[in-house]
Amino acid sequence: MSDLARRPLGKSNVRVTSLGLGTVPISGFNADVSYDEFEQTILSGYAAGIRYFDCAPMYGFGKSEHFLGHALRVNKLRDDVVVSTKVGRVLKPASRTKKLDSVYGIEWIDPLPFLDTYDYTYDGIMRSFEDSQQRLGLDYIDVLLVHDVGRAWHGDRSEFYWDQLRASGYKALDELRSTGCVSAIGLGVNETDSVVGVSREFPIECALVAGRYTLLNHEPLHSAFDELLSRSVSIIAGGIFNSGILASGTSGATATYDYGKVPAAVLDRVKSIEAVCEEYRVSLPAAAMQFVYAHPAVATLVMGAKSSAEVDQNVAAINERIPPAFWNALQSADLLPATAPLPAEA
Amino acid sequence: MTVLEKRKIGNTGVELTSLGLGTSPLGGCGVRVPFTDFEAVVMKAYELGVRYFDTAPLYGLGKSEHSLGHVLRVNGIIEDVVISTKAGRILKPASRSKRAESLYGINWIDPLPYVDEYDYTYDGIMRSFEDSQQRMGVDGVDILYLHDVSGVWHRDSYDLYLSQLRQSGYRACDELRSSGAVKAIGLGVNETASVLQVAAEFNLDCSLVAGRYTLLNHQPLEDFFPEAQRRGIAIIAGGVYNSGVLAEGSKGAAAVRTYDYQTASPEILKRVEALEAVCGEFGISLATAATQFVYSHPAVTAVVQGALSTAHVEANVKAISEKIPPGFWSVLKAKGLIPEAAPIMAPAA
Repeated sequence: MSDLARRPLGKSNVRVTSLGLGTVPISGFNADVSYDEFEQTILSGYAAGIRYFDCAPMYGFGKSEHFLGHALRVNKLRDDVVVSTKVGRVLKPASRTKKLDSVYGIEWIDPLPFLDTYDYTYDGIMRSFEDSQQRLGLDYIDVLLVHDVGRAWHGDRSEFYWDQLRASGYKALDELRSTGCVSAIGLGVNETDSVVGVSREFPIECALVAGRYTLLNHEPLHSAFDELLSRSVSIIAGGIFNSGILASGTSGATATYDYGKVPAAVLDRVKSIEAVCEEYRVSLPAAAMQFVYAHPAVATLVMGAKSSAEVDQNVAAINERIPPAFWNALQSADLLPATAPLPAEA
Repeated sequence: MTVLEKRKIGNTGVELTSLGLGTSPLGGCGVRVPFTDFEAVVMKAYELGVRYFDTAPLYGLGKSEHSLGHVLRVNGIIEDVVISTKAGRILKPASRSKRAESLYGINWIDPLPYVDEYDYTYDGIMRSFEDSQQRMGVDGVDILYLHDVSGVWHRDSYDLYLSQLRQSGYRACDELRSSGAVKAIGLGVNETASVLQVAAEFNLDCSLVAGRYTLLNHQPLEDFFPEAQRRGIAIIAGGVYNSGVLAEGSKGAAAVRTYDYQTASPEILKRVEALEAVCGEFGISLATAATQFVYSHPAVTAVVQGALSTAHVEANVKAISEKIPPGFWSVLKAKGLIPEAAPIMAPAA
């Protein structure tokens, strides 16, 4: 077992391993996944040293929570791991609920018989949290993330949900934290704007941000990460392969960039990075992961996996030895901004 | 696979196999039950033809529901079975709640980290039901029993809980039934008096009643069964062994041959011996006689039995399906061991 580094989430007492396991791919996201495969993936993660697991009511409409709770309980791992789940969606029985129009229109394969409804009010957040407790079968949940708040997901409806959060939702989060039901509060989003916005209004410890800081996207360096660092908001980095291209490389048949076709400019950029990787004998996924983890604002990388093999690949990549000269070469070639913090030698 | 007989609950559309599996023991009632045992018992019951499973928030404080939902789902049989659960207790995180005082003070081993809180109001019943949906991962349930609405259980607080039901609880039951979230409503209790009391106020489809009609206790013949039949309330019978003595027999260890969870009196043991003698004469087991005596009453729709092992399940299935030779019941009646008035319905061919 590798001993993964740990960092705290903001000023909370929650410490997360450098790698966390995300449960989207094992909750029926475009693929039918059996419980046995789910459990195997979780146990492989644990065996490899991962002590942080992320789920959400939305993933498989409750299935990721139900399965994760069961797997942690029967394998007696609960007290040994950090669990995060999300709030903002309340699950209702499918036969008596209207289906939401969501931006991404995810079709979960073989989900629990529920549908999601958005609710960021006090009552909605409390209910979402308490339902998660029942699905997980847990007394407390370490980290609670407000799911998909902001313009990136809600578009024109984002103000409406902001108002719910401001009018009463923050109060629910505050109570959950101060009573010890959860140890850290944050956001779970695909943008940095909403994280910065919320952190100015309400104290949060962390934010799970998908695909915003990667080898290919350095936008948070401009100001977001500095501000979040100053507010002690830790980043839980998701989507660090930009949905595929940084894992598969340019030769990958199904490479995607942020869930879409890879733009030509991005493809050229990845080819240039690959050339440097080749020169220094560094794998592209290892470079992508260690680059993100090098930023002091980042506490952990949350990565999904569909199998034990994928878990093992990720763990190998975070532990891969990368010569410092590699990073300097990327910077000299203008593939990384001069302001990007680089990994120190292990 | 055994093909178990099925009977309907009135016109609710719910049909129960003669034998249902109760999951209170599997919830860890005084003994540790690993999940693998839970799964093995449920799957053995299914394999042997059982298509009715009973659970409750109380059993393992949510664990029975969570595990049952999981087992039925991952084995792909959840659409193929009838599920009942119960309402009247809300489960709260143990670290921030005070434990409800219950009469029996059940020691759940390795439960979910919750404690139970009684609530028979509209909100309480709705919340209990909706929490059960989330714990099991189901869209609805077939039968919802109001759990322990009973003077025997609640004693001095019975009136309080009855008034919660009257003021708003019944309305929640009504809504759940009329919306189709549940198909049948009943009580899940250890007595008959409260079933009659509630039935006079609210339209019940059925009730799960434990230990009231058995080879040793025939009292429901007089008032309860006729009234239940008149009102069309299907009885699901639990505790047909009176907690042990009718399964273990008179020679069983004193700790397990109990009568309604107490030491069996010499008088009871004498009757059990007399029953055993007739069983021996006809070459059937006492458990078979005990199970089928109850199921033979036309007011009874199904018998629910708990089990802790696959061997238990096999024994229970044998007890409901073993053929009883003609003449057995007449001998019991001739010897005065069961009342002349006890109806013995012929099993469906």
